[in-house]
Amino acid sequence: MENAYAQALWRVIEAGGEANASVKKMHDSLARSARLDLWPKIAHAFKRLAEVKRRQSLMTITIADKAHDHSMRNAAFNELVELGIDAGNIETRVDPTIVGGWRLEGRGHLIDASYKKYLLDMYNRSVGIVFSDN
Amino acid sequence: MDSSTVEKIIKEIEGYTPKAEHVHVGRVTAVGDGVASIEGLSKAVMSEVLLFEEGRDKDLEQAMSEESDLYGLVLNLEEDGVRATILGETSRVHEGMTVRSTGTILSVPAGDELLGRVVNALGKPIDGRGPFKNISMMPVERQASGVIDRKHVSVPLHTGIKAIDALIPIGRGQRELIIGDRGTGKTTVAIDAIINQKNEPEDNRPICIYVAIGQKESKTARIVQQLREVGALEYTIIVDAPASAPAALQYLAPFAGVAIGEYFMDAGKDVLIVYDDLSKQAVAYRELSLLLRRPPGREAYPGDIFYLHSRLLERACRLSEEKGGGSITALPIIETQEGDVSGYIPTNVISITDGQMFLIADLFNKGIRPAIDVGISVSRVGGDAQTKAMKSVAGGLKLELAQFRELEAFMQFAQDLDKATADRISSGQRMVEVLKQKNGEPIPFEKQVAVLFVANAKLFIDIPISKVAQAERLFSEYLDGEFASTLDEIRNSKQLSDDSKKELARAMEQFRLAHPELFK
Repeated sequence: MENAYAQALWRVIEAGGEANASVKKMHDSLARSARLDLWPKIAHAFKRLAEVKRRQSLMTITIADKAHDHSMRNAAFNELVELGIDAGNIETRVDPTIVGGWRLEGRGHLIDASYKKYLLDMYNRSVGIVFSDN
Repeated sequence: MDSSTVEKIIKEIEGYTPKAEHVHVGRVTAVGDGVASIEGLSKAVMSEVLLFEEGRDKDLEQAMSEESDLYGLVLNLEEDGVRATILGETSRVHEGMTVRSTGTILSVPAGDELLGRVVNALGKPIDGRGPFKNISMMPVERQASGVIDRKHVSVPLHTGIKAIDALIPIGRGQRELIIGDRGTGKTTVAIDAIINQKNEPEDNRPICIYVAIGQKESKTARIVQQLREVGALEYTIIVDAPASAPAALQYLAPFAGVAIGEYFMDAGKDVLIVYDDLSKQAVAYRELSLLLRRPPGREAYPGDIFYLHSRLLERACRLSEEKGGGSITALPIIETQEGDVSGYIPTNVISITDGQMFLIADLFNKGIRPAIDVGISVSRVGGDAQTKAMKSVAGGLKLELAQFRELEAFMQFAQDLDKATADRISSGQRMVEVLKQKNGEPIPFEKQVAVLFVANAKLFIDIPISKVAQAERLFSEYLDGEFASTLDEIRNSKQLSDDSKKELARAMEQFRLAHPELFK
């Protein structure tokens, strides 16, 4: 129930509704129907929803070494432009297991230009050759 | 590894151009009982294969030594994401995991290499005999052939079981349900049908596919062993989704089996596929549907449970000559509870198939095996496929047996019977004995014709009931030894000519003289 209220509130605000007025309207509506006990739950549900939406709108670039942050970001940005994807906010994450290169993930997209991916690709192809020859 | 392989690998590495890979992804938000909720993946389509990315955060060495890829199958499209079933171990999936869209519909490998092999519901070999090399991929979900592409069922598929081939004949491209309680010999009938294909000439022999759904591994292992021992495994493919496999794989196994069958059918070959059994598949699908939060209906099965079986069994058909003339004959098995055929799944599958053979526990316990109740078993299209030879000997058999059953019930109350009734009962009892058959010993069609011919001619009437089976076996051997040419003639012409009838009558007389000890 609280999730449905939180979703409704999110949509009203997203559609251009004024935040304070929308919240007040919902509060009054709940008060009228004697359901104000839901109010704290709705607040928590709204918080969770906001976090999900924030995560969904966020892009994360993973790099192996912080020193290469700038050049990797530029490469990733160029790739996004080429694919016609709006860059928006990009968070940086350092993960040495990708060996090198970069990996951009978020908003339903994954662009993998990490060395780990290339090396794994080569390894899998080589394994394929070994199997097909046996 | 030989030097040419090493060279190939070096060339591959030298020619490799790194390229950024762009894919659509989602994120696992919840996982449990083989089902994952995934947010994102707005472009996913139904039945699309997803790839769970396990290598993230693992170093290169760990990623290289990883088990095989873990896939999922999209089954629900929802507002903010999808629900997918995990085609592997659920424990390998965790919250927050990245899930890649592959843009492909689930397919399984198919090809001649699969013959004699045991594969899982995804077509991966599980018999320890290595991977496949030259294979084609066949979609697991495919629209069944339309009416224009089909031809009516007219070629017989001999099961080697007298009671079936004579009374409820099956044609190539037919769907014949095997239904009965547990332990009544359903699997045995199906396996005998597979074994009997060994008696068919190689160019006309159907490829057999046995799909084990929710069965004990020990049972499947025993079947594989049996098929191997009799030399039937070389033209058989086993698709195994055991009871321990996730519900998703049990649900998919029959579709994987028929997809493999379609490869051979498209190549103009005949295929015999056994689904053992669809009750367990329905239960697996119910489990999956409830976990996917689809609304439950009767007996908690989802609303599309009929469609599940109809779309599977409709894929069994006989194609027209323009389409290659191949066929898929389906023998679905349904297990009933206490002989109740009015259950939801049994009635559904009865209505979909072209006939059914009922196996009855009472008959089984009386020692009548195969325990087929010929009175209530039917084959709606198989009659057209029956050979003239078989038709000529099986014509009055069903009626005679039905009359015998009536009289048998009456006999329990009556003390004195007139001679005509007593003769009919005596003849019926012997016919029941003749139709009995040991498991794993299917009989070639021409021999069935010969045995039924002499049974109709009352060869066994003077033999005590307890010796009928022995007499039939001896007569069979006698025919092999002395009248092989007559059997050949029946097999090749598929007819029972006047000459053949005369020869069989002669064989009968000679047999009577050769084995006086059997006769009173």
